[in-house]
Amino acid sequence: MATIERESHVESPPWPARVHDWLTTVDHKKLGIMYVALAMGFLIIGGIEALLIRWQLMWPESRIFGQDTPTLFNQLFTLHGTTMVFLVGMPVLIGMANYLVPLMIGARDMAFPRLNALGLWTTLFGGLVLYLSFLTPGGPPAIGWFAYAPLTGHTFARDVGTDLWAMGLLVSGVGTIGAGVNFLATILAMRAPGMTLGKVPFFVWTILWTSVQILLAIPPLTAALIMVVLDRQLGAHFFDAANGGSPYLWQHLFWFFGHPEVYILILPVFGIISEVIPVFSRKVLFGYEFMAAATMGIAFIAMGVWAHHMYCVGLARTVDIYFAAASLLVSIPTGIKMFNWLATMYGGRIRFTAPMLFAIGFLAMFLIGGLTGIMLAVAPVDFQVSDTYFVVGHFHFTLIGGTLFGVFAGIYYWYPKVTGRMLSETLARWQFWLLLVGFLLTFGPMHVSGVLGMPRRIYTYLPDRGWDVWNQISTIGALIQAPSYLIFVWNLMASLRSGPPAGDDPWDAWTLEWATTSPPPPYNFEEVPTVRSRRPLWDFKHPDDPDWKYEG
Amino acid sequence: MSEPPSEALDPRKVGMLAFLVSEAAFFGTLIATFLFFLRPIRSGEPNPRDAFDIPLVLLSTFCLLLSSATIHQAHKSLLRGWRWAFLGWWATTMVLGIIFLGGTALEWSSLIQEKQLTISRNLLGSCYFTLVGFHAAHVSVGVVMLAVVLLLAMRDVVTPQQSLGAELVSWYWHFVDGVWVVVFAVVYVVAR
Amino acid sequence: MAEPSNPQGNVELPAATVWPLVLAAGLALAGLGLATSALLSVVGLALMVTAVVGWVAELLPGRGHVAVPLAGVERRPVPVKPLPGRVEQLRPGMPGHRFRLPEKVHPISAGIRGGLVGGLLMPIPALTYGITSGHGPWLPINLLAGLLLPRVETQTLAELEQFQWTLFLVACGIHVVISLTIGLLYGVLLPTVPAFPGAQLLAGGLILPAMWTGASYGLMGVLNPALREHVHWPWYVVSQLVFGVAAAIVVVRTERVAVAPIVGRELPPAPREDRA
Ligand SMILES: [Cu+2]
Repeated sequence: MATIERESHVESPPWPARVHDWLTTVDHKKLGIMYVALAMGFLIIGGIEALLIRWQLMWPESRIFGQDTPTLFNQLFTLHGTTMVFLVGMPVLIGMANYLVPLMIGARDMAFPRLNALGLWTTLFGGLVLYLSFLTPGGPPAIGWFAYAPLTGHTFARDVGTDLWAMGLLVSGVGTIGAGVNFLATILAMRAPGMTLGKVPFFVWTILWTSVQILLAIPPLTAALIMVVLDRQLGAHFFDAANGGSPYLWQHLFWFFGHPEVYILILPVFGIISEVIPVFSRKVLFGYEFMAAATMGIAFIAMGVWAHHMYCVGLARTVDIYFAAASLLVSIPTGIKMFNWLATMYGGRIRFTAPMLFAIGFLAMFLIGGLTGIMLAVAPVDFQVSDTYFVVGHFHFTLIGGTLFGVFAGIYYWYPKVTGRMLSETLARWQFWLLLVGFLLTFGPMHVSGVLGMPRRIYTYLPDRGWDVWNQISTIGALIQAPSYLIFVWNLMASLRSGPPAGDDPWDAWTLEWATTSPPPPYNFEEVPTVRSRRPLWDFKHPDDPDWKYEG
Repeated sequence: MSEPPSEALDPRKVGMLAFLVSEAAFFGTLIATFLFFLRPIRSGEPNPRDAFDIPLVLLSTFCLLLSSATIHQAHKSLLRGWRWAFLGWWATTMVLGIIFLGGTALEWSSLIQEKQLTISRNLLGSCYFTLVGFHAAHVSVGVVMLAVVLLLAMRDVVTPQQSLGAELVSWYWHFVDGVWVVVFAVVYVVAR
Repeated sequence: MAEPSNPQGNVELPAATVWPLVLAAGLALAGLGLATSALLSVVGLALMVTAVVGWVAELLPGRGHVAVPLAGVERRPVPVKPLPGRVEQLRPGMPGHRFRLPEKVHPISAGIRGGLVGGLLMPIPALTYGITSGHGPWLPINLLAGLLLPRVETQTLAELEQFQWTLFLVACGIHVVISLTIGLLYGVLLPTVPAFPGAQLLAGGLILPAMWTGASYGLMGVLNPALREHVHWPWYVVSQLVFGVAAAIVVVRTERVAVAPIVGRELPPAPREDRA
């Protein structure tokens, strides 16, 4: 398109002005890009930590860092988990939603643009506070990402690293809550004329319910973290069993946050998949109403299942049964979604371009993670494999096979809108297959070593346990995965200059963001369009056969 | 910016409500923790039955509840364009909030100095000071917001046409009062 | 399209501001200071206060917004082109893309009948096994009841060969429910099988029974330990295949009915004006 050529002739301002521009911006699009860039940076850091962990576990009785190996290993898995959940998963999804929600609903910006900027910066500074622990004498925290008491107590964690962990999460939590408030206000009160709540793009619908979960789940974490800080700094006794406190309370509070958190990390991805699959199957999303209800159902059920992470602390039998039953209930709405995606593809004219490739990868991989999740929800099974590598395998299938594959699908889908350039399909294919093979090799065998009894978080193991070969396959898989991420980052950066121009609507898609230029102007839309159906662009393109004729 | 028509949702109102929901989840956690640790206290340690000075607390509770009524009056006056009534009721609300904070300060100093109840003394101290402390912090933030609105109103920035800011502050104030009712019930009634 | 841009060709947007960045930095410093040195906290708090004051000032009417001019004409979006008659068709010869798949389905009664016929024929190989093996006809029936009833696996073989009322009734119940369920599933699934001759029979008579037989081979130790202990796999497989073939034949032979077509309405929904 001519627009891109012309852009390069416009003189770009000197770099200090551009930096100032990005630091002070309140534009939801720039903030969204920075959120995603931040997440990619931390993804690489967290990935390096994961590689070190895998390298240490490659051979039995190895000590890749010499004498310090046990401590360093504990610090690595703590940072890896915390980074991936709080500094990669949430920021990348919040960032994508930031970019897309106003465009999809025909708004000029988020409801609270300055609050939006605050959210980005608190996430960044929260992450920096956490990583500053590398400069302290005791080094980073060594408490695991769920930081069970009494590990966080002063007795067991005398160094300042644990305080910085709590502070970092508190600071970034402020930004997350701000984002939740902002999304709710934007989605509920700033939609284009005619776009009723039943007509919002599905991604927007999932962000609505993600925000509800953010508002209900993050504040309890904030409160619990404050209690940790009070215990450590002012000598309070919340989690201090010696003085009547209760480590068990921490588990309840943490998982009351922690379980909804996994849905905060997956619901937006369900939304991405529900945008990609219809466009690349050339069909309407099958059963929108059922999908919408299932999203709501998941959001509600997810608030009442947290103790399935705690079967092994010895809950009462009735409590076990309740939480097992409630957790199994989640599989019903999730199953509805799976079948509806398949039904959307069924009979469609599928285009196997990069976004669809990753979407199909998501369907297959998340299915496996979902099924092992059902196994783990059953208390007796959990008694056997809790805190083993089976659990590690399970949640990596949901977080990489689910969240990350979905995020890649989304980035391949919307990158042309954000930059005005297409990403390279060849590189996308290399990335996809390396990632898929490496991912299966890394996390598949973990189910086996878990069933064989290998506990998670041990820094090494004896050679006679029969765990060696499974660990070696895992590590080789990690080495195969690693280049796929580099290919992705390379693709993102190289295509910025040399990707083919995308035009306004490269995929012949149907939601409002494709009606404006790529990249969109600061104000998104000159005129806010009137919406009559869930696929406004379809209606404009095919006035003889519009969707509104068929929607209730 | 022009005010949207009255029947449409205003993003600022939705945002305030969403924020208050998250605040409710926060206080809910602190209150649940307080209740979780309700158990007999070793003899000789400060306990809820004789540590708390109920008349003082009742007085400051009365002030806080009254302030909900006064801020309601203030908002009504603002909408009717009664500038001085609005300023008067609004300032009264602020004074009542400050009295409440003063009551909390008195209570804390007597607890710490006379009853030797501190945050590190026992679990009652940990729970009590955290819960009541965070509530007091919210009241303080509320007082600051009341002061800002009062200043702006005196400079004629808050008018019947531009009353949304004042209304949102009043929502926050009502919420903080409501939380106090629950805190009062839990700390001074149930815990005994 | 509604809502024309304002007459000056400007759009009012919130102005760039540094205060969110400063507030976040202050918050992080204050937190860092709590864990390290109070001096940092003081600096952090000072930054926070400054930032909040600056932020509030921008919320005042008339401030904090800028008018952004519209992009040059050459950088406006390409108008969405209406392409009447260009609806992408899912399959040649179809009137449009709005049809339900599969186009024709079996009536629900077909599934029920398939399940019943399969369910009636399936006991023949099972009972044949019981009688020819010398265990008698009741063993397979009692074993089936072990799917639901606890402690069946603790009975001795001699006990299991006897007729037992409860086991008999429970087994009959299980048999009817499972037969009907699978029959109904056949009614739904078989029309979705690719349309080449014999494909439906192959799917219903062989592939699906093979799948659930494989699954039950893996899971039977958990679901029904009694059956696992005494089952004779060749006969077990034969009974599953008999069910599958019978049910598939019945379902496939039923006349398929066309799915109700999707009909659109003529008038557009009145747009609900959320904003003026
Ligand atoms: Cu969970």
